[in-house]
Amino acid sequence: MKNPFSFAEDDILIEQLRLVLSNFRSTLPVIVVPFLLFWALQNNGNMQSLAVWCAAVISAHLLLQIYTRIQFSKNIHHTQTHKIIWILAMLNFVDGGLWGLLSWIVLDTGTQADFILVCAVFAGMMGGGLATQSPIPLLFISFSLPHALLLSTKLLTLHEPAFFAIGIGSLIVLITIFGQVINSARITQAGIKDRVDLASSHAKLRKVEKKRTLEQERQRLMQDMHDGLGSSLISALRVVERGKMNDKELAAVLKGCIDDLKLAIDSMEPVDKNLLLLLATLRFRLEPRLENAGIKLHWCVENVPILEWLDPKSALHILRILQEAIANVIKHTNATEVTISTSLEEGLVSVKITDNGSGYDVAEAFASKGRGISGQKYRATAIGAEITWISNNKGTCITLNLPINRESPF
Amino acid sequence: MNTAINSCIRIGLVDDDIGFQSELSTILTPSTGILLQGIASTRAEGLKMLDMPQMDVLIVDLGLPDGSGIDVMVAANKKWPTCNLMVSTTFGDELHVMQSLEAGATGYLLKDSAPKNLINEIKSLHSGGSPISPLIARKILTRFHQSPPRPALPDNRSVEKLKVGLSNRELEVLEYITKGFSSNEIAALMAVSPHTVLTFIRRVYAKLKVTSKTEVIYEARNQGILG
Repeated sequence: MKNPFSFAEDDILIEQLRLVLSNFRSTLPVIVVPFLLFWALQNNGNMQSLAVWCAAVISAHLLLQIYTRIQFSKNIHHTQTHKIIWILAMLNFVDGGLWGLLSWIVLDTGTQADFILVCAVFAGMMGGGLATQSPIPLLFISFSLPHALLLSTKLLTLHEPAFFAIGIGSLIVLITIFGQVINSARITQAGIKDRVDLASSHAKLRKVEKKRTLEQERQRLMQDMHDGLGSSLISALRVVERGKMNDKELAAVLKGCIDDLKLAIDSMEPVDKNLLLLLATLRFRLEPRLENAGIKLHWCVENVPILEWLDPKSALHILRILQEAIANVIKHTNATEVTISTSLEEGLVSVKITDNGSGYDVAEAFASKGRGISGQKYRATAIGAEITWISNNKGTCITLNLPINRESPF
Repeated sequence: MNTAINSCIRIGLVDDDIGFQSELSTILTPSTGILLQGIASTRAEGLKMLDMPQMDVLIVDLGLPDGSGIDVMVAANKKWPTCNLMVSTTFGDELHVMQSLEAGATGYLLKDSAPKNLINEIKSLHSGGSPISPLIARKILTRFHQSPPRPALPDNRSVEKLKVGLSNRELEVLEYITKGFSSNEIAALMAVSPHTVLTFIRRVYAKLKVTSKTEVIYEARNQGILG
């Protein structure tokens, strides 16, 4: 802090001000002091002035208290900070000046007890000011300077070496305490600054993190739209353009596209690494299709552990693998029943889709150019899983083995 | 004939999708036992429709050209208190459905469902059953899981009054739904009738509506305290 009267950045200054306001609320008992002084000093013949002083100093202090409490109860806005500080400084100046005036009212060369009392009040006010107003040096000085100046000039006018010495002494005390105030303000400000900086760097980090997540999510969806919905629509368009597709086939393609879209939307919902919730979603989406095809679905899932690696990207791969499997059951196998089951086997979570259809030649299916079965294999590899097919004329069983823990990133 | 019409389920539709309007008016013949009595394409028309005699089921789309279908649902709640509200949606995604459930809907209709399924959904909602997707069930579970600890509220007594919890049986049903089991399968697993399972789900919907109100109150208070 180069100049104690220059204001810090807004956030820090607001904190400093709130600190002063909160400190100041505890100075209410000071109101008793003028009464005590009135009671102790009323015998020195200046009673009327003393009464006026007493009323003035109490009013000034009450005004400060009220203003402080009102401001403390509100949220201080950036634009108001300077105004509040200047008003506080002015009120402090009046209050400090009044305390300084005490010496002009009651001190005379003869009254040593009064002199000690006034000096004690001075010392007390300096200490109190240090304690409450040190976060903002301007407020301290606006209170202490008039107080100290009025006291020391009065002492200097008394033309006695002892009073003279103490008058100079009180100015030295003011300067020393002011040094203290600046040190303490510097420490307070540094503490507040650290806190504000930390909060803002946390906010920045969160922002960067959020942006990264959004970017990843966008890429994932783009990829899926491109491979899934986009290519289905384009191939449908080509076939329609050549006039080779009847209404029923077209409807089937469009239904497939809508299912694709629904699963992509589902994959955006957080599944909390819960495989069963993911499978449940798939059932919810695809069962109407199975029902319409006259295929009965048996749901034989058992609880499986949470899969820590099951992020939206992996979830969509799993959904697409199983969607393809069910689409194949409907399109190619003439099955009447299909069973979806989960189990836990040798550190793997196993998902099985079994149908009672006519089966197909797995090697031949791989060799054919369609994306279907090789796409499933590709997706399984991408998530560190294994997929196997067993098919004969009594049905087909597709097994997807998922690792429980996946160490290396895929 | 008259008695047949009287026993019909009377429904209203508030949806600007003309394709869906004509789909419903084509498939909902008197023989299905469902009668389409009113069609509105905008929020304003929907609100006006509520001046008609009360219907049994009102199907509302959220994205209407002149505003949100939520307004129509909230108004219907007041004017037609015993009417079943359904939201019509393309994807049945969480955002649309949760909003509607909180506004008092007790079910939703997927627009691309086959005609047979559309009819079944409306009938099953009318007879007290409400379909629920696993993701929505999960969302409701977390909602109720998170809502009790609210230490920031100033007045503890009012929290007690507003707190609505799910019973163990209701939680059990939701847990089964998140694992993919159908209402009938859940009924068998819990050894109750399928109808009882649907009643549990109905109650969850009703409680969801109540908690959404308490959330609004909580938010309002919170704003008041902060601001």
